Amino acid sequence: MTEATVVDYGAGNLKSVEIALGRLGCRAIRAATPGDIGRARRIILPGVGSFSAGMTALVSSGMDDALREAAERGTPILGICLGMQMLMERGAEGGCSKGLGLLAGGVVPLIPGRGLAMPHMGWNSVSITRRVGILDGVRDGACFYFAHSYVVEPSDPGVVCAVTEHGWIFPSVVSSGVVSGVQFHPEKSRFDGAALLGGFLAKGRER
Amino acid sequence: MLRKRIIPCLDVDRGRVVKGVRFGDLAEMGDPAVLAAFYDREGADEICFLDISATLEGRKAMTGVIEAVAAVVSLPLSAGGGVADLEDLRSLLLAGADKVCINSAAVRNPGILESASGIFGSQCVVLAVDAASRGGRYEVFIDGGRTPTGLDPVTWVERAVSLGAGEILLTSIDRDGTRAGYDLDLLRSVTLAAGVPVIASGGAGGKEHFREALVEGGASAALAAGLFHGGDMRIGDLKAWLASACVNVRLEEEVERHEGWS
Repeated sequence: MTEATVVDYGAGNLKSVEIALGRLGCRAIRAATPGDIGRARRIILPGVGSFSAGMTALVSSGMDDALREAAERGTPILGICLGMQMLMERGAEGGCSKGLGLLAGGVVPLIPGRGLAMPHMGWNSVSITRRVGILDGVRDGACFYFAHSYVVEPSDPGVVCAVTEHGWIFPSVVSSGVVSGVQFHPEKSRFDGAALLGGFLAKGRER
Repeated sequence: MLRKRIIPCLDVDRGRVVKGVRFGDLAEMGDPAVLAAFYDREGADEICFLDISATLEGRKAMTGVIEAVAAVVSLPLSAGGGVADLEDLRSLLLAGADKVCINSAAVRNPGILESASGIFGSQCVVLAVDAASRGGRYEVFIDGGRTPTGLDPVTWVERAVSLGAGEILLTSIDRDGTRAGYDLDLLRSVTLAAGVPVIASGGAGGKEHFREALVEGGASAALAAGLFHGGDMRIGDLKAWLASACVNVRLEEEVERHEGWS
């Protein structure tokens, strides 16, 4: 049976991710210690809440280093929403703080255009700019559920695989080697979300 | 572009959906999970559960409802009704709710918005505002519409957003259940001031009402209860019509394509 380790750093709801994995016939294992991360075959870093609070929790449990080591060993990692943002080197939410640094670049507020509400909340389409493993089953232009106010700003635009527009065009999927991130919530996005998670379980890497 | 959302709202009493949902084979079904799966297939963009239980025991059943629903649908879920403190909020989020609506508790203790958004993030903190027109001006009511607060909805929403509310669920008490259309004056005044997404609620009776709220009213989403539950309007038909009226909605074809998935 396929297994995926879901990182539990106390930031709330892991259940939706676990249920979504279960629907794909995948066993979800919760990780709360560096040892749990060390044993993982693939890792999902979910997340809601603020960047600084999330990083503080990862650092205090020692899971930040464990995640870096896992990436180095070639364990596929998928960051979801805040989990994607924490893959970056630094974030501006809740005061500038250090991220995992698995992808070069930072996390910045999504400044809305005139008349656009923030947070960016609801279903929005994702335009695929580069076909990678995790996007295998995903249609170009598919709608996913978003709920966020910050976006990633990778130093290397080459890691961007899909973009979404809300006032600005921002990266909604990034992938580099074994490290991937999605700004939306695949676990809340019906079939297309399931297709994306399925792509991660099957491929788990950029190529 | 961000799609405008259509949200069915289910009233839950002691763990069962009340107010009679009628849909062919689903006649008077009270099982929240069955109804949520139904609305998922219909093309709902999100489902809202409002606990109307009068007792503490009844309230406890709400987390079970959210758990059961989260197990069968892969859609954003919001929960509200009687949320009094951070513990209520936490237990609903842990049960699988993505957002929690806070109403009376926020008026009595606005600090709850700040603590809730600080811990869980603004994206899951919805301020529910029940407003009615009294003597030529709008006023916020709490305790299920029974208690006037003297608060002006726009002033209250601005304050709540500055404290961390990430979305507003705005219900017109005057229009609720009338099917006369959303209160566009109230809605516009709040959407202009809020900056965060506003869900219009109260008064939907026809497709045009949804278009007005989403386009002229500036709402990010429109919510209805009885209109959908009674079978008077199907969400799929409504969204197809809205698309033909140039409203950017998540289209039904996108849903149908995958039929058989669940």
